[in-house]
Amino acid sequence: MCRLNEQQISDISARLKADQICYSHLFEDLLDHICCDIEDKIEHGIDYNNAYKSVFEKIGLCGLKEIQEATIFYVKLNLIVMKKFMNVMAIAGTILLALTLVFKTMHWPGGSMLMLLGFLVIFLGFFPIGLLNLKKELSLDFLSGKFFVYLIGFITLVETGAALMFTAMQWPGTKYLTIISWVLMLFLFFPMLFIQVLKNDKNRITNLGLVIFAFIFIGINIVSSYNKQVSPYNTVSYTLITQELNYYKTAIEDEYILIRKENPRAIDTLNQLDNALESVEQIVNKYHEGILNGSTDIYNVSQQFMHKSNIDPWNDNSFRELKTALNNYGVLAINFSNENKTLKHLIENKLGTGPLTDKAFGNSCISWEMRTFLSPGTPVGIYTHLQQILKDVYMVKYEIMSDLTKNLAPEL
Amino acid sequence: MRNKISSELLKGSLKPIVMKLLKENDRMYGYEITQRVDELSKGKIVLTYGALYPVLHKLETDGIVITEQENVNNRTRVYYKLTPKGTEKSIEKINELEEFIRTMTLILKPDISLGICAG
Repeated sequence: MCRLNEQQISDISARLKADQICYSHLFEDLLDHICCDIEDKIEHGIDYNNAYKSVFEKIGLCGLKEIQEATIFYVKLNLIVMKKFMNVMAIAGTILLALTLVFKTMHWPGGSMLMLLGFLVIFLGFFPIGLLNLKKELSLDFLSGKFFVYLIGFITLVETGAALMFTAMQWPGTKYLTIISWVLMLFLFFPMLFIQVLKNDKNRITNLGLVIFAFIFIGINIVSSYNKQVSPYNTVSYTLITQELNYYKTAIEDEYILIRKENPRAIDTLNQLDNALESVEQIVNKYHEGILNGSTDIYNVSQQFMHKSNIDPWNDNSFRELKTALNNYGVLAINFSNENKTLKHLIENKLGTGPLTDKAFGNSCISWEMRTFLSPGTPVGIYTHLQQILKDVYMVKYEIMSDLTKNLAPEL
Repeated sequence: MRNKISSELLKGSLKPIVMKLLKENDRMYGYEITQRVDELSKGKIVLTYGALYPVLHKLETDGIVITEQENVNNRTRVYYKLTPKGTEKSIEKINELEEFIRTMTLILKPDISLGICAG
């Protein structure tokens, strides 16, 4: 049986190297196969040179490279399809979330549905495929420690995504989902990642540093967000709003002194406005008290209100009492605007008639604003928002009185 | 002149063919597989380099075969061997191919098929 000598094998090997055959053990496969083919031809009476030429002619000019490309493509076909699917999911998820942003900003109906779809595509489409892709690409065993770390990471990610989605959708149970995602992240994912990094010799110090840094960073964020959640209300905005409210209250008193002195008859007309304002304030105080005592269903009502993505704010019955009081106040307030367009615009804007209005004051003020104001999981947002409404009511009164005193000026 | 079977028709059948040969021969190397296929098909099926190696490497990636390397005649020879999972899978794939051939016969030669069924 004919055998090729070392020089001949070396020549064939050089040819394969020139064609950059390097995928896995394809080089060894092809070298042996070509040698066998040539040896077979020599067996049948053909000389080495012609046998060599004939075998490579059969393979073709770019044949070796093509074989390598075909092998890589066939082996990675699933990965390629998966990656394409992942890309489609990523693009679809991004588009849906971007549209959500537009819909929410413009207060168009359907924003919540888009957000839900976006989250589902990202967390139940993109990430699971990404995990499988990773497993295939790194040739990980289902039972290997490394895969387990990725799996825990993936579960944590999906859990955190669910918590985010629940938060954004204002669904109940947000608090528990958030706590579960923190526990998974801090007590399962990070310790397992830590062990994996310790096991791995490559870049151990750098990777350990990165893991510890990430752990501390996320830990600090979790602690600070927890603190934010347990506070009775959003301290900064509530305090600022209350400061503004007190400013208007004091300013109104000053204006009263001036009006009483210069035009006592005007006080009578202002009394009606005062009564309307007082009833708004009484309702706000009642809601505030109820929220703090937990004895009012205002929080539950507002939560239900939030869940109706296609709600018609004009006809919704939530906060009806407050809406009515605000409407009474608004109708009276608008009478004071007279020809002053700026004042009229301010009243409409602050008391929420808006450009699409049926002129019922208070509707949009409650409906539209409430959507962005509500904080998830706690009655904080409503509490602050009610204070904001009260502040706006006082601001309108201040502006009316300020307008009155300006008009009095020429008579002085 | 031998009428070779086109690669188009062969495409889906290559995997089970290779798996069947490996099941019967414990371990084989690339050239050996092509020779055996040539011999069994009386030259009608010619496995080219470009058809055989993508299939073998795919089977290896999927855990159907494992490889063993040996130094033979001054070069490395890569032997392919079915894994236990591959042995199970090969039975399944061969049955699938047989079913496919039977179905094709039903379509192409209904009379013969009926004869076979009646017999």
